[in-house]
Amino acid sequence: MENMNTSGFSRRSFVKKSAVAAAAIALIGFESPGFALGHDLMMQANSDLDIANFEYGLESAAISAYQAAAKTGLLDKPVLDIALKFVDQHTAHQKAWEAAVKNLKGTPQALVIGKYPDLKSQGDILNFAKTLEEVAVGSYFGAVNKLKDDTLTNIAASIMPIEAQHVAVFASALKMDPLPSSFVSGTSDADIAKIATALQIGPVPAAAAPAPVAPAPVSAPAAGVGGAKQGEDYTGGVVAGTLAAIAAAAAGAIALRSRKATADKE
Amino acid sequence: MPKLSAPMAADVDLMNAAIALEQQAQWTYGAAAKTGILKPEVVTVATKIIGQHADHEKAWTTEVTKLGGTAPKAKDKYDLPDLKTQEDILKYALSLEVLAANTYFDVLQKLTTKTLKTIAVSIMGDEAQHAVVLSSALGLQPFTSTQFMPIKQG
Repeated sequence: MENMNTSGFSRRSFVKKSAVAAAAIALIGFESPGFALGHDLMMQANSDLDIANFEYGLESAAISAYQAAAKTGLLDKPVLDIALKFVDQHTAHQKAWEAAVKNLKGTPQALVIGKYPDLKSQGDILNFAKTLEEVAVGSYFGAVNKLKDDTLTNIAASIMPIEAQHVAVFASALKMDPLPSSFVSGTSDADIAKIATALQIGPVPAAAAPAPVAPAPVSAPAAGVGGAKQGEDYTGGVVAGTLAAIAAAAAGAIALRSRKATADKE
Repeated sequence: MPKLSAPMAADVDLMNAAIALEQQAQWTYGAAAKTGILKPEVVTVATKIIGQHADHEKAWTTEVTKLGGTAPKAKDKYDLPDLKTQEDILKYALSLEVLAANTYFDVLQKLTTKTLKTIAVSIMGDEAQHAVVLSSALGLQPFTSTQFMPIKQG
């Protein structure tokens, strides 16, 4: 009955989690305009098209984050199985928003995480996944309020509890309280914007998105970055190269960390 | 008492249906705890869940009253199937939570204001999380097998 522990909220894990989040947020200031866009997309998403595209982007970022986590080899099989099932759910959500964006005559814009936090253990990954799912819950909670179209509002409403379940699953796995609130609203808009900035969440142009990209080996040069010659097609080569560089950096940061001898114990 | 417009009256009816479900949930968990069948840690969780359903009921009662409506009174007793074991109780509770979450999805779509839809989605999220805890306790997959609402669990 280990998952029945609703008062098992660990002060130590809360402090550690806050420190990780604070450290991540303290990295605000990275100058790349591409990475600032995640924050701006969040704060300026007012039209139904903007909101739908932001959700499409967020689901895309979640999928790539889970895939990166799966590749670390840090996850126990049962956790990995759950992560892959969550990917299936996020993929369905992503498709729904893709259709919504196209229906509104927009161009679906996938997002990726540009800078992962330090993830040395399964516990770290679970905490990070919980943070991302809370962001998802918060974005959908906000979307229900902001979307003007009823059909889109209902799509957001139909997805929110699925993400809320993801949060509860991770909370249980982390021996935290899976039922902290009678009214689930996820991460606030302001905090979503801060997290998007800290993680350098940015758009991937449609030409190179959103299919998962196997991270290039860290030693491989990122083709196209800084190397395109005048007159070449900058779009395809530079974008593909940038995407590979981002994925490689993320995978490298996660995979090359040595594991701690013990995960964060309660 | 000012006469309710049609949309407001419809919203009151929807909220009252939600209140009735919340009342049934509180009574059911309370009855389950009284059986003496539940292990202490399960009683602890049931007590917490009762409190959350009470919070939901209170939120809706406030909104019903704001619109000039009247919330229903809780019944003294609700139907219960034959529950012999802790597993029976947990399965029944899970079915109620799934019903509650899915009812909220229906209710949310019909409510006419963003304020009420926002309350509904936050409660729906909580019912879905109740379903996670109960499914876990039963050793089942903790999350729904569906990708969207309505959920399917247990």
